[in-house]
Amino acid sequence: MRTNWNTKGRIIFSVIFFVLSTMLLALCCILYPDSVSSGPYLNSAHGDSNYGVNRSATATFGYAKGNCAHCHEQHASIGGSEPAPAGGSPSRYAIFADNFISQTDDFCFYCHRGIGSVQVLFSRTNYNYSYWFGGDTVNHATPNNIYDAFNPVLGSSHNLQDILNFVKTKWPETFKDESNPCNACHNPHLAQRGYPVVRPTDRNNIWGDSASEHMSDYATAHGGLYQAPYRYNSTTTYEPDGSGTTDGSNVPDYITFCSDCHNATNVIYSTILGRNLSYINWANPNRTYLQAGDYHGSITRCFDVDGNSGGQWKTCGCIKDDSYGFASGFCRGAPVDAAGCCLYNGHTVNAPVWWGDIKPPYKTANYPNFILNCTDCHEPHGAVHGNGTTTPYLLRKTVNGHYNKQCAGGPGNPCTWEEEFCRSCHHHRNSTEQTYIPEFDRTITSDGWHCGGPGNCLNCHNHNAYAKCYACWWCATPPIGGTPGHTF
Amino acid sequence: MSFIEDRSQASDIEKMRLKVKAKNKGLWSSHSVFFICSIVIALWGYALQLEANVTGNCSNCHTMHNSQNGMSVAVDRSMYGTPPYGNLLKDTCVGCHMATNGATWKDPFTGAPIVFNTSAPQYGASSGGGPKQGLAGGNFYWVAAAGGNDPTKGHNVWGISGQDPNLADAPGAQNIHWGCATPTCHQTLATNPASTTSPPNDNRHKNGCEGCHLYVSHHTDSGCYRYLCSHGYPGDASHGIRGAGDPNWESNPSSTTHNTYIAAAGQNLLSWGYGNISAFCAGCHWKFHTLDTDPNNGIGIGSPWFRHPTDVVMPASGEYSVYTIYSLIAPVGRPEGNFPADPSQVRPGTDMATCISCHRVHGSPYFKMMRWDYKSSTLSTALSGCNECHTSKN
Repeated sequence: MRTNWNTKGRIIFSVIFFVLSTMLLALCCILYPDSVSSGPYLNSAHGDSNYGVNRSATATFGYAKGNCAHCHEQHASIGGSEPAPAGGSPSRYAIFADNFISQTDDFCFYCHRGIGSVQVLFSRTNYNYSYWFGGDTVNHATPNNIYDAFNPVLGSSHNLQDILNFVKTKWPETFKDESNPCNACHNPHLAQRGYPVVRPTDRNNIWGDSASEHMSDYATAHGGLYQAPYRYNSTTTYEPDGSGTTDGSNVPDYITFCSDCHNATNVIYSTILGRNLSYINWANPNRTYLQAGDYHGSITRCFDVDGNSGGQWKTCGCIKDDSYGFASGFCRGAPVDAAGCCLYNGHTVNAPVWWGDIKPPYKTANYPNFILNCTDCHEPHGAVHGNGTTTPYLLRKTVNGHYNKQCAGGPGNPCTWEEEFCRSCHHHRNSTEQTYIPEFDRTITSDGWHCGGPGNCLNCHNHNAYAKCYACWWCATPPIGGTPGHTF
Repeated sequence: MSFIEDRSQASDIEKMRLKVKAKNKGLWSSHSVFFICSIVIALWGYALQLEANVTGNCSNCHTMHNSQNGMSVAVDRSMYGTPPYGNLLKDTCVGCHMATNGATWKDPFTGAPIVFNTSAPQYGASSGGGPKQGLAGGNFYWVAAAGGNDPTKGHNVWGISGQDPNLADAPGAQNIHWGCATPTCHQTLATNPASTTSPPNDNRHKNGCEGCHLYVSHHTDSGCYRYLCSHGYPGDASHGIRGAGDPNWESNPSSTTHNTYIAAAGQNLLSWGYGNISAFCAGCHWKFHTLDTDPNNGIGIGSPWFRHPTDVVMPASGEYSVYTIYSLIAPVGRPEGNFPADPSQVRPGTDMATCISCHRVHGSPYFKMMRWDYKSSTLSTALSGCNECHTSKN
C-alpha cells in the first residue's frame, strides 16, 4: 500500500526532522568540540586533544593536551618563572629548549625519548617502522622512542647534523642554521600518526594522505606495480596496515618523498660513512650500462621470478643422479626427457629456486616490474643493533614478514646480516634449500658465493650499481658475455 | 561695442551689484575656511580621539569642605587613608571608576569609564561565547575579591587586590628597575601609592592606578591616550601613548567599532615618542618587547624570535595573509598615520601584534589576563586567539 503525505504531515515531518537534526548536531558539538572547528593542527598528532603534546610542567598549569604552551613559551616564562625543563636561555621559535644542538640534543627529543621525557604519557609508543607497519611486535620492543632510534648502538641512523647541513644548503629560504633537522621531514604542526611527513620542498602539506601520493600512484606512473610485503609472520596480511591490500594504495609514496633529498643529482655527505651517499635514481626505467637506475625501482626486471632469464621450473622424476642433482625434484626449463630428467644439464634441485630468485608474495604476484617503496627495506629514523648484528644503511631488521636474526654460522647458514636481510625476499644459500647459480652452472647448499665474496651482498648489490661484476652480464645484450649492467 | 569694461562708466546699480558680490565673496571665503577647518579639526579629533577632559558639575568629583549637613561627603576608602582626598576629590581612582553592579560601563554622574565592576561585567567583548570582558582594557572584577581574587586574571592594583602572591616582580622586568628604589611601579602596582618614602609620592613614582596612568589631568587633555603618559610628561606629551578610541570604550564593540592602538615597527626599545602601547608595557615588562640579540634581555632581533614579537610587522605571506578582518579576540595595532579607511580591515604587511593583542591590561576572565581562554580544556577554544594570526595552526 502506498502512503502519501498530506501537507500537514509533511510540515510535521519536516519540523521533527529539522529539530532532531539540530539536536544531533548540537550533541556532536558538545561531545566533540574540537572536531567542530578542527584544522590541520587540531588534526595533527601533536594537536590532538586526546593524545597530543602534553609537557608535564605545563600540564600542571592546566593547559590542555595539544596547547601551544607545551612547546612554545611566548614570553620564555610562565607565571614569572620558567617551567621545566628550566635552565639556559630563551630559545628561538619561543620553544622551551634550543632547537638543535647535536644528535643527542634536539628539541624533539625532550619528549620523544625514553627515560627523562617531559611528555606526561605517550598513548602510543614510538616503536620503529618494522613494529608499527611491519607488524613485528615481537622483535622490536626496542627502540621504543625516537631518541633511541637516532642513537642506536652499533646500528645506523640518519645523521641529524648531516641533514641540517644538506637542507639549509639546498633550500636556504626554508631551512636556516637554527632550524631543526627533524623538520626536514616533519612539520610538527601537521604530522599525523598515519601520515607523519611533509616534503622539504612543500612543508605545509602532509605527504601521502591525498590521491596521487600513494605508492600505487608512483608505481603506475613509472611503468610498474607495487606489491606490498607481508606483515610479520603472515602470508595473508600485508604492510602497512595488516589488511589484504597489496597495490600500495594504502601506503604513502615514500619514493617521491625521500627523493627530494636522495635522488640522482643531490650530493649528500655522510659523516658516518666518510663519503658522499650513492645516488639513487628510482625513476629511470632504462637498464642501459652506466645509466643510473635500479631494478628495485623503475627498471623492468630481466630475470623471471625464478631468477632466470627464461624458462620455468618443472617437476621431474629423473632416475639419473649426479653429484649435484637429486633423483627427483625440480629442474629448470622444459622439456624434460622421457626419463623425466631435465634436459638442461640434467640438474635437479629439491626446490624450484635459483640463486637470487624472489619469494612470495612477489613470486606469486609475478609482476614484470616491481617498484618497491623505500620503507619496504629501510627504517626512516634508524636501525638498531639487534640480536648480535649490526644494521647498516638504516636497513630494517624485519622485512617482508621475516625477522633477520643473527646468523648461526657454519655450512648452510648465512653468516652475515646482509645475507639474512636479502633472504627476506630472495632465495640464497641456506641449510634447507639448494639454489642454482647460473653463472657457475651449479647448485649450492652452503658456503656458496660468487663474485662479491661470501655473504657481502651489499658489496655489489646497492643503489645505482650500474657497472658491477659478472652477474650483471646476464641482462646485457646479448645475454651472457655482454657488458656489465645493473645489480640492484 | 567695446569688449573692455570701463568700471568708471558703470551705473550705480551695477556698482552696487558688484559691491554686494564682492562682499558675498568675502563672506563665502571666510565661511569656507571655517568649514574646512572644522572638518579638519573634526577629522583630526576623530583620528586621535584625544582624551576628553571631564565636563559637568565640579561637585561630581570635588567637595570643598567634605561636609554637607554635617556629614562627610567623600567616600571612605580606608585603604587610601582618611578622606577627603587630595585635590578636594570625593573619591579615589578606583572609587570613581568602579560600579557595584555588572551592567554599568559608564558612571551615570561623572561619565567615568568603569574598569572595575563588583559583579561580573555584562558588557563588552567576549570570546567564543565566554564571559563579557568589560571595556577595552578589560575589568578588574576577576582579580578582585568579588570575582574570585585570582591574581592571574588581572593586574594587581592597590585598592583592588593585594600583591600577586606568585610574582615577586613584574615578569620580564629588567633587574635594575630603572634605577628606582624598590618597590616601584615597575615592580608592583599593589603597594600604597600614598607612600612618601620609597618610592616618593609624585607623578613619577606612584603605584596603584597611577603607576600606569600618569598625570591624570582630568581638566585638560594630557595629550596621552588614556593618560598613559611617560615620565617625560609634562613638557613632552609626545612621549605618551597615542591611539584612536571608540566613543563607548568598546562597551559594545564590533570589527568596525573599536579602539585602535599605535604599533611602531622596529621601535621596540623603550624609546618614547612613537606612541606605541607595547613600549609602554615594556616599562615594566621589558624583556617581552625589546629588540635585543641577547635572549636573556629581549625578544631577539628577527625571526625566529626568542619571545613572541610585538611591534613587528605581521608578514603578508603564508598563514598571516589570511588575517584580514579585524578581530576583537586578537586585535592588531596600526602604524601611526596609517590607519585604514575601513577599521574592520587588517593589513598583513602593515599591521602588527601588540601586547594587548593577547592581553586585557586591567583584567579578564582568563589566566594571564588573556583575551581568550588559552587554558581552556577545549583545545579549539584555547587556540582560538592564536589562530586569528596563526591561521594554519587551527
